Amino acid sequence: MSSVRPLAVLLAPLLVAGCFEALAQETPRTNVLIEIGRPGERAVPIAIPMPKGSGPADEFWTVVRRDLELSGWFRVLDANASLEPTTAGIRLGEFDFADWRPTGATILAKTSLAATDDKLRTEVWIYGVDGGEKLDAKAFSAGPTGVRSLGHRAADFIIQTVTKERSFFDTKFAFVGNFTGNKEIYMVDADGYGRRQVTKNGSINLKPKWNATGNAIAYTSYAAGNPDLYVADLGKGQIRRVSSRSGINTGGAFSPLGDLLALTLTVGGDSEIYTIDPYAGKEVARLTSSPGIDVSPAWSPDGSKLAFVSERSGGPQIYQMNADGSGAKRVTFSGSQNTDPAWSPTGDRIAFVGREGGHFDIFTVRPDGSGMDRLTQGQGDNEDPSWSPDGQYVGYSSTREGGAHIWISSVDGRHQAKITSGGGGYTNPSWSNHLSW
Amino acid sequence: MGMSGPSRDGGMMADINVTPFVDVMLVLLIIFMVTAPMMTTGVALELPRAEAPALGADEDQLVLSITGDEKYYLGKNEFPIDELKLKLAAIAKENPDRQVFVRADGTLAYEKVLQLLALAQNAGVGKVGLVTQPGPVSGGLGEGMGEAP
Repeated sequence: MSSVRPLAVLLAPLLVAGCFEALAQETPRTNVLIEIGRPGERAVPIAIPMPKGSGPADEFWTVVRRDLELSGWFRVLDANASLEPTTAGIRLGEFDFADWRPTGATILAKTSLAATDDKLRTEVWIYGVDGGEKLDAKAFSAGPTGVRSLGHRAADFIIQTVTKERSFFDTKFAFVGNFTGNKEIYMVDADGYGRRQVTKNGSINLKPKWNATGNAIAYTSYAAGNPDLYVADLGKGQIRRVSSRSGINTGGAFSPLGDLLALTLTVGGDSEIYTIDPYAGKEVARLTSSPGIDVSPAWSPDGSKLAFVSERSGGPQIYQMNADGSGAKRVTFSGSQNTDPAWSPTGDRIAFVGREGGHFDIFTVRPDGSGMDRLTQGQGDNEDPSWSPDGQYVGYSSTREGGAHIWISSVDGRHQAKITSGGGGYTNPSWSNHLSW
Repeated sequence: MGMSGPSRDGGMMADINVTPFVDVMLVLLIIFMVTAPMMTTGVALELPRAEAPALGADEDQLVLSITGDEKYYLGKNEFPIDELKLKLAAIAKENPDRQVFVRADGTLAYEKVLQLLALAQNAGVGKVGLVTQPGPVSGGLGEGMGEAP
């Protein structure tokens, strides 16, 4: 028995040390309000047990959990982190909160999924674990193939119940995809699934931009040889060429009301910003007339101003001006190359690409030039910022993992998530407004 | 320690060598002892009696119980041992500082309790509280360790 002797010797000091640990652990449980900052600031631990019921429960469950992770609001706990017996139900009274308190979950979201011949139906019950209370509950249904959409709506309901903010799972990205050897315009759901090809011309297609209602995408294409501006009307399934003036016709951006397209033209030799009507393509106004490049117009959310890039002071910098071209003001002063502005939907920030140390990174700045903030650093090249409809996230393309993918970042840069998967080839993302579920 | 095995001196060893368990456990596992008269997990078992500091009642505590007939419980629910390992590992991963309170029936063999501690250790639990009930200590352990035969 000599081999057991060290046990008593070693155990003794640990017993003493451990007693204090136990006492320090005695903290009374109180009902604390769930504190929420912005996405990524403080992820709320959430438990989402496997949905009860029939049908494609696994896929539904996967969609909900990934959405909540992508949002940055939540940390989804391991599915095994539960003390609950499999017989427990999802409604209040059908399970015991004591089975969830030791797991560390603050929020518990219980779901069911029922599949019938003609529809899928889910019930989502959301609870605060500490207080042992129901926060909200709702049922959703979709067609028999609508499991992903149903998962997005469940995730949106959870996010809205806990944070009082809308999610972005009813949005899409338009982007340039290089999957066929040609740069074509595509769109994809905001979680990276459901990719659809918009152009199939075998040419070069660039810089897609959504309109505010989400039924049209403006882009530049070399399909007819010259870089002309096109609009893909998604409702009608039509593509029309709206500007084919000599020289370049690029950077088309719909005004918030959809009645104007701002774009860059080089008809007069120098590159200047114009507005045209988005149907006939007739010139409405010329907004800039400074020597050197003026490009990349981006509307403020109320349509009263435009941010743009100008070389009037030397290198490319971000400027803003009134929608009639008056009152141009320089916005960025640091860095030698700042391009691709995107005005936030809340109006209080402009995202842009800054070049530093040979790499491109995403920055944001207030329209008056103050409060510059950096969202990416040391993560490959990060380009083409585009705001989520509620202004909580910036989407962009990043090469941090080699191939170019669509990534999102919370406004403070703390939460960054990769949206698309596969080998890359995703550039020029443009984030749509909220679309229909 | 730890390198000894049944074949060391050629002969058969009748008793189980717990050294490998102990070896692994004592590297990282912090063990402490508490009495918890108020702990209501709903699992009925006879806790060993020993003097130890009292633990306040707290529903958030993670309690691992093993009954005299070797049924395993997490909280108040019984789970097969494999499922229990998965759950314990998941909870330990999500809550790195979480301590686990072990309520082992006093009639259980010492070996069974050690195996349970090893299980918790392997699941990633860093701190284990051995729960006792207060009261007069029976037997002669008060004076010192038992004599090896």
